[in-house]
Amino acid sequence: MPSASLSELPPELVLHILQYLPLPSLQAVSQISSEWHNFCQRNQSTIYHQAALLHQFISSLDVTLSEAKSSFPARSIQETPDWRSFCIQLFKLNRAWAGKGPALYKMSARSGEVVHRIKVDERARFLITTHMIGGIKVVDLDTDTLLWHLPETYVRSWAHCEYENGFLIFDRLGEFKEVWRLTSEFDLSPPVMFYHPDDLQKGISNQMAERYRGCSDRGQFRPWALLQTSEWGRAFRFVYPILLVSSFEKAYLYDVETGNLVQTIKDTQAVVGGDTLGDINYVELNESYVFICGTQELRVFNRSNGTIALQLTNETLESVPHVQLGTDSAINGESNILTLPFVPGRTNPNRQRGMFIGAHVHGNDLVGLLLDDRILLIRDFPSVIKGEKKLVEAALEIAFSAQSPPEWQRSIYVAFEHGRVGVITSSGLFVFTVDSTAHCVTDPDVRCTYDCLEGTAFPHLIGTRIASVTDSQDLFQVVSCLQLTERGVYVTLDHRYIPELKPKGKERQSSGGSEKDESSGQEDAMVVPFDEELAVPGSYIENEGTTGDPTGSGLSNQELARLLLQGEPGRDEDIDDEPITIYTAHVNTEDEDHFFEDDEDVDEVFVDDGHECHSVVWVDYSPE
Amino acid sequence: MVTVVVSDGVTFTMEQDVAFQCGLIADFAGGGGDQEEPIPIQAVNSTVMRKVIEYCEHHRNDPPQPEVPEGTPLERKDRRGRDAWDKQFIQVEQELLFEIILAANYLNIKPLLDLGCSQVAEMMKGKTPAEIQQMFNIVNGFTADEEAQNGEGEEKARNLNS
Repeated sequence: MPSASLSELPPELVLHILQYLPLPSLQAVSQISSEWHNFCQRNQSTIYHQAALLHQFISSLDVTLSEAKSSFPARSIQETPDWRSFCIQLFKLNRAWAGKGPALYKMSARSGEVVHRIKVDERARFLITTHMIGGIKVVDLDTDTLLWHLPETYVRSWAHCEYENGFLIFDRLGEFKEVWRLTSEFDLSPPVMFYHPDDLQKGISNQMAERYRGCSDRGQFRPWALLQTSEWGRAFRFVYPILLVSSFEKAYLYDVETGNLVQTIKDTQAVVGGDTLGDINYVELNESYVFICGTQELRVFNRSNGTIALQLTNETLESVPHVQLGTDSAINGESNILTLPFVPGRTNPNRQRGMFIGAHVHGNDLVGLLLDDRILLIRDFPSVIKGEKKLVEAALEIAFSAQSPPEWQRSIYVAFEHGRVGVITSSGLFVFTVDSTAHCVTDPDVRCTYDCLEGTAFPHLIGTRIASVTDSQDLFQVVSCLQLTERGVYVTLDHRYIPELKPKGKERQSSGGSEKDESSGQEDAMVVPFDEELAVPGSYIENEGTTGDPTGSGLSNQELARLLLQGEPGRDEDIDDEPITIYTAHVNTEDEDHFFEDDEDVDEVFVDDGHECHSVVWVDYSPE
Repeated sequence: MVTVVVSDGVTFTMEQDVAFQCGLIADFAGGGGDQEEPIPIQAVNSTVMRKVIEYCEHHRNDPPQPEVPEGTPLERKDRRGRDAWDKQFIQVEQELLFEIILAANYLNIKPLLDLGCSQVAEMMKGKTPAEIQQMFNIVNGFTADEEAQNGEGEEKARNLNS
């Protein structure tokens, strides 16, 4: 019998042991002796293939490296030569999302300064934008060059758009939804469909084809269908292949590929439990359910039979466990991402405004955004629907502790992709890693990341804020879109407030910690690029997580609700007339040095030229 | 009943559902009735065999585990396999731990092999190379150059951890 010690174990048993070790430990193991070093080198592929499984970067050991890489469009992943670097790159990326790594601001100047909606295809490397003044642009993510567009005269102002799997959908005034498809994926003989494209679409398509003659067809679209609902569609959302369009009291589901209406959910306003749904704020869907956020409640409908599966109101949340996102922040020096603690309690300012203005589903988890600076997370919501779990066991309410007075507090946008929730509220731009043990960012043996999360359905939640984004609450009024991809956060922002985005601004050092910046409004030297929309490359977007534009107005109902409740002036005036007031100093678009050194005049800094700028800005968590 | 005789000559008699958790014994006995001759298990001594039988007796009533496909995330496998009793059971001297691993491998008891190996991994987790060396009494055969390189590597390892 062989002597029993680690060094004497046969290689297959050593490999068996190593399959339980996360990357940092594997790295340590390879350094314990020259024998171990050589062993790790010889078996590198096996060891890191196993590690990819442990870290849940792959779902099975049957997955080959090239298959694994194909589901991660980011170039830093694509170019990895072996399992080891594949694992390390992805691990770093996941850690960066959790506030433990670098992130860079980027922007697309070519998309212009009046961007309304963003969609990203990270695999195809382009960005699709609609604009306040109308039109659609498709811009190369790497070179920032225009690949294709539809003119302002053709696409209405503030058009909402959806994109997935090569299908681009935007609304035309009236009851129409235009469906376009990537030219490169166009079948030579598209199906003959009831909702075929009309002459307007064909005409403009020909004009554009002429215009881009000689260019590669990358990023170019051709008309696929023109869907018409019998009523005005208030909100729409596309999760391939189904387009959901909600009118005031019905929900229509179209199969976009075949161009057929496949289901109608009737009477979504039915009075149940004393309330109707109310006006439509937002819609979402997955394979089994349709989610409609109304002014009265969030309703979940079974797609199988159109019945109501779940109703959530402000009142039903009273009993749900609740925490606040704290403000103490430790900056990691190389990152713009601050990890925030969770603290017990609820200081919710204005609960009468607690209506759902957005909802997104990711796997079996659901996030709802409430207007008053709160989100609601529900783990495994189907088990709540089926009565296997109570809402109070599955749900967690998170309030953002805002520095601003309650009347200023409002939520703006929510997205839920790749296990991460992105939220913009008046308190800032936040990203939550819902289960940090999933990719071994935190050790699963640790009971919870913060004490107040223990016993909740989200013990391993990590909350981060993108630095300096809270510093200027007014800036968030111009945010009209938030997208998450595997690799980054894309938003519409005024890039002039993000020094890193200016020429030569990139290498700027944070001048000594940024803690406590938000309340004092003074010392935030950690300046995060502000302007660009954080567009996330969209290739992985299965369930694109942004709020839709439910109304035909070009404003999402989130925005409408906000405007109504806030009694703000209409957006149009906003854009043209009002200079942006930044309450937290540090913004001087003319003189960067001044910006960093001067703490006087902190209270109000005006943008010099007085126009708002809604550019596509993104935070890249996978800088190359 | 099944009887086995181990390396130091001790015989153990156990019920079939206990014994057959060892793939080796199940194969040997061929699923037939009671064995007349004790099954020789030369690679395992009586101390280790007692632990193995303790494990098998505790798990005799476990529902048959569906063969875990290779694709199942290990963490989930681990969680299913490792209850509080298992954790307690595997808290043993290092030498015995490795003997159990070897025995589980030889006898083909997959859950016990997983338990033992994950326990070793647990002991390594979060440790520096030097700590692992010390813990497992590993001789460092690095040359001075390699050592220097390792120093850098160690930094990196820490960074990954931080």
